[in-house]
Amino acid sequence: MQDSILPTSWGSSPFDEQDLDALLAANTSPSESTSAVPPALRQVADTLAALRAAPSPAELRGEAAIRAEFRARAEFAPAMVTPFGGPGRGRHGTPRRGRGTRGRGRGTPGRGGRVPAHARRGGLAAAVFAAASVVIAVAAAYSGNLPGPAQRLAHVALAAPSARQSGATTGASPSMDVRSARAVVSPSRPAAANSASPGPAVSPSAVETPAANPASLCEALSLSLEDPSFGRPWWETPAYKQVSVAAGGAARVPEYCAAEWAKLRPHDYPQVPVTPGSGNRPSGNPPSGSQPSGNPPSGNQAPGSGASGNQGSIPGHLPGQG
Amino acid sequence: MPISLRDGAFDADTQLVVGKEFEAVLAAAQEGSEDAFAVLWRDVNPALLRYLRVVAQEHAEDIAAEAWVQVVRGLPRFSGDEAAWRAWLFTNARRRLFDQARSRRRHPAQPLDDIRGDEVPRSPDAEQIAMENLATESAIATLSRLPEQQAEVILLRVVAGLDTDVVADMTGKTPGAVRVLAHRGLKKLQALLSGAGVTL
Repeated sequence: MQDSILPTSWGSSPFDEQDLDALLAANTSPSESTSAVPPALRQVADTLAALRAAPSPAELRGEAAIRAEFRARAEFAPAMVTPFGGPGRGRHGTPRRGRGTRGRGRGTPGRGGRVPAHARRGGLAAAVFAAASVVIAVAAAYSGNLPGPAQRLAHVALAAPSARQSGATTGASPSMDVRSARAVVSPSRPAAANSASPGPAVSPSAVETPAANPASLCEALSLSLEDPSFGRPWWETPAYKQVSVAAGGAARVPEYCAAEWAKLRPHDYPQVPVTPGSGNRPSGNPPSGSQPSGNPPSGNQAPGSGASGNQGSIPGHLPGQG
Repeated sequence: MPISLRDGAFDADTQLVVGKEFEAVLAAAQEGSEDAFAVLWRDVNPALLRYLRVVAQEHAEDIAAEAWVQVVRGLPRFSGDEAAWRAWLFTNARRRLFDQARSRRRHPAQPLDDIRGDEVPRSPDAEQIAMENLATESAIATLSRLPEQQAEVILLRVVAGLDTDVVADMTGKTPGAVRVLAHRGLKKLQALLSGAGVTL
């Protein structure tokens, strides 16, 4: 590259790029200029030296204003920090973002200092996250994608689709708990499933609790019929055994349970006489395909065993009801 | 012995350049020491003003003030040495410069012809400035005659004391392009000085 702005025919270059770099790097002083700087660049060197000259008073006259700005900032920012020594400096010393700050306690005790910027950002992020979570939860509730208990709660609280509806569209999880299982497949009490009226307190432990009230035992038995993941076949559950005893025999269990539920919710269970073996249900008809999942063993293993198998839930068909 | 603004091969230096004490001064400023911050301000503000007088001309002091306000706000999170400090400040000033240029394009200033004579703002010490630092003012005026990019690169290298890589990063150019710009600017400056017979 030609260094001189003069045509080459005018003679050799009066300076080269190293001279220019030296001027830019300020590694020559004006005192050296007579010897180190090419004569053609002496005026340039003097100009650059003048640019580096000591500051004039006019260039420092804004100090009071910037001091005031700093003072105001320091008074209202109690979390000014000393970020020295840490890694991660931004390019060219730009302030790092998202770094923790350390309070220095400049504010007088009890004085309400301004919330540091990082804290404001953190609070805002938390609020946004919470709002987003609520929106997502509501959307999931209305789309029926919540887990069974949560969907049931959303159904009660938000009028979201019931677990039954969501299970029909999204597929009920086999790990759904017993309460949601009741809501999904209990064919005999659709009104109860959708009305969210308080029913008998039923929990998995109720199945194992001998002292549970009759309605709870019937509810537990119903659950054991409906939920394949209940843990054991329904005919082996203590609930079934207790209900059978209380009803006076396996064949009377449906009638017994219908009567017990009708005591709790007479509107949901019209007083339809149930004749054992007739196949009539106290209320409603089960939707097609909603069958209990546990198949009783063939033969007489199931109490009141019969040839009809498990064609319905309580109340309704029970094995041996014919 | 001449006094220079920047600490370099020049033996003489002003006491306003922080130098080796920079780390402690910065730490004190970040702890809230107003005096320590003033030291930092005195270190860079003259260079910043000289840079802005060339690239922003009459808006230099406004832009410098805006840049300093930003620096005060970001000071607690800053980390780096004196070179990084200068680079940060000048980067900040460049951003303010571009912001103000955009603002001026959207809201053109009222021509001075439309303002009455008694409303014209006067700088009481403009003449004094020229008298006190005639050589510096003359140099700034000469630099202002260079193409803008060449002048900016020279000022960032010489006045701000930034190396080529930093200037390249600031200006969005390659180091080679920065070097070429600086060399062309110096050659142009040499031609201007030779042709004009300027004596500093």
